[in-house]
Amino acid sequence: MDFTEEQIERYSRHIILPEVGGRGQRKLLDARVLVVGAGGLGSPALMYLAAAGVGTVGIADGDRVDLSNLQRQIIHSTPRVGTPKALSAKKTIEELNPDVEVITYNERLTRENIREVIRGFHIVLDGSDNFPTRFLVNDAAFFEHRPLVSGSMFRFEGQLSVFKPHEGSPCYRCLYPEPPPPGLVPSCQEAGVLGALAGVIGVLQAVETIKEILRIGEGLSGRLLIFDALRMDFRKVRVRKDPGCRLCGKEPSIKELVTYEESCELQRSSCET
Amino acid sequence: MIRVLLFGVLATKTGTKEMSLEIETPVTIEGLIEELRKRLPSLPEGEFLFAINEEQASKESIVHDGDTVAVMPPFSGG
Repeated sequence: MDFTEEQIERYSRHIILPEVGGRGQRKLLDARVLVVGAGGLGSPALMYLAAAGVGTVGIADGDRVDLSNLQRQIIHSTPRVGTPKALSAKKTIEELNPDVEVITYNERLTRENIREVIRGFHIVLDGSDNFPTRFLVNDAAFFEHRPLVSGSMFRFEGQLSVFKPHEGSPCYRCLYPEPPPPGLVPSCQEAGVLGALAGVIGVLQAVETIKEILRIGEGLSGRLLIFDALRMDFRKVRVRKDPGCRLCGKEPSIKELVTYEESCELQRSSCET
Repeated sequence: MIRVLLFGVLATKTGTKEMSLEIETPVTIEGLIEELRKRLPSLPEGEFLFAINEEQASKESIVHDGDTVAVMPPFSGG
């Protein structure tokens, strides 16, 4: 498997697990994961992916660290306020685990650049903070046949699923065909969000990503996990591929990437992914 | 009796996370939402994800007495 002695020690608690082993740890070191948004969800997800030794991590975020982010975006820190999030996250990861190669995309993903970015990775983890990006990431992951580990949150609640429409399970649009009308679903800035909730959902995204890399257990593909922190209630809803889905259905009408308008500018700078 | 669960903005706008509906069954999800709106006039309009007994459902799906119906909006926060 070709590990250094340091790697054998660093990953010993993984390697000792029969479900991971040396072979699984090798898969992690060879894996390439793109994390969209180094914010509330991306922060804990990135830290656990890096700690696990995921060999190549892409970070796409065009925002800068803001003081109001630090209540939940634990990959950043007070001295980093004002610096680009992708670079701040990279610095933390490099201190955590020098095995990880970090590729930063210090820009917003767009219809023009996203497919090429995604093509360089095996799995996409969506921790973005707005609907236009969520739909763009879903559509691009579908076109590029990449599994999408999708997490989102609102106040004290989170949603999580894995979308693999190329393997017969639903895509994000099978659940939510179009972005909601402007103003219906408030952003984190407008509605607030419990900081530690981001940890719960972001870490679960890392768990699902690692399972996907190792091909162990039962992934959340075909199921939507709904978490209510106030009730400490985890529910799972069985979700299915919509044969009429405009993207992954039998007669798709979406054949190339579409751009949705930001419902309000406030939303963009809100939760800051 | 049908148990209705509301999530996200649906719960915050109506002040209701959970309610029991005594309505005639069987009823479609669409019919159930209409009844729900009579009781909760502040229920937002829009396209939501529905589930009957933790299985994804459509607006045309049939709800029976004793079922639990969940109505879930998408979240954008990250």
